[in-house]
Amino acid sequence: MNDIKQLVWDGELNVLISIDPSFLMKGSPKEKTVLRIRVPRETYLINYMPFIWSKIRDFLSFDPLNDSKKCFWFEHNGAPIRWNYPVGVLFDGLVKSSLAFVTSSEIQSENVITILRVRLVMGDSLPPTVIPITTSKTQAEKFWFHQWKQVCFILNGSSKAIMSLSVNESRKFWRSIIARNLHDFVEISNKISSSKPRHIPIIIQTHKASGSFNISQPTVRMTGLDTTLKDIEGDIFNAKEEMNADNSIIICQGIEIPWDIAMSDMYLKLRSFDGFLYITLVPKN
Amino acid sequence: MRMNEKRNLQTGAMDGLLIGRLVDRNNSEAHLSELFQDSNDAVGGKVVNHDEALLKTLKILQQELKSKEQEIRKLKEVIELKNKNAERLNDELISGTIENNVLQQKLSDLKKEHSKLVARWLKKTEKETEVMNSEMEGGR
Repeated sequence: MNDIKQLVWDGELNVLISIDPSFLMKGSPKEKTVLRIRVPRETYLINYMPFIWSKIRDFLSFDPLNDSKKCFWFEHNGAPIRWNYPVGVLFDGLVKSSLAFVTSSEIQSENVITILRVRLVMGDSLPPTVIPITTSKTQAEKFWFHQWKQVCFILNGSSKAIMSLSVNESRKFWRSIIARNLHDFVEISNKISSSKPRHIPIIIQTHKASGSFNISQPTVRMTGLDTTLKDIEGDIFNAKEEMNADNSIIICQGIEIPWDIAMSDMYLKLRSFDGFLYITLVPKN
Repeated sequence: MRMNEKRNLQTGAMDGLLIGRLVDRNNSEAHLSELFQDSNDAVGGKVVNHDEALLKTLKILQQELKSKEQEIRKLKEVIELKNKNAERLNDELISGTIENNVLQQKLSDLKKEHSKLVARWLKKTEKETEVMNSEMEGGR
């Protein structure tokens, strides 16, 4: 199990962040509008905001930390991105073809490069469904901790386990995300989650033909140890949607998941850093 | 007992499958990663060092830019208002011209009528004069 957790934790993506020219003063060098960074799959995009500001600070036409009139958010191909999901989940949701998840080395061409392209844009008002990016340094941490409270409640039926963490432990927990310390992360997350959960905190994202996403958060009750993904098929697929088990594949942590995997096992091994198990339904080609 | 063994075997096989796929995922996503900056220094608010004097100047310039932008916005509003006024004036001018045209038409109609009436009156007076003249000649 630890090998899988380590591999999940080590996953990193090539992220290309382009900055909208409206942020910069006229005549700023063009190369400053593009940032290329390796970002762990298990983190939030907004953890990189201080880094982004520091890179373009010399050319900014306004002070983002003090000018509260302007709103900014991330986009991909003109559609806003919700920063409140882990980077890996965002990437899995943006890949349209199931072929991208065929990991056989024979198919992978040598020149193929995997990039998550995002654009930082600015406007007078935020698009719907996007949580504003504030200048607070603790925004991501607070949001993430709140996610864990939800997870704790879904798993155990109460938030007691997370509320009884000491201040030091809470800090250590968040630092483990920033400093990429898997040992500390596992140690504290194990205190919150039980080995026999009542329910599984699961979030499902589905592609829509329009290019948008449908997010659902079904209640998955664990009836026994042997509950498999196949057993909760009804919860995963919405009756109104056109997708079903025959025409789509299940993606979690960037890999295709077989239907006969045990749910509790899958949750403990492949859950994200905010405690939720994110599943992406991708149509088969 | 056998059930447990079977379950362990299944779990082992599944773990192997997942590990294989995750390794493939990490390898393919790391391809050409040298083109991208390592993120270790990027996260957690670690920022690049800047020259303090330059930063100060930048801040002053940003402030100035902001005030200039505000000024531009205000001036744009003024221009908009003036444009509206000009438009209204134009409208008044057009309506004045139309009114003038109508009155001119009326005037020319009245002039025509007037000259017609004058002509009729002259004819009538001419006839009356003729009658009077013939009567006078008959009387003699």
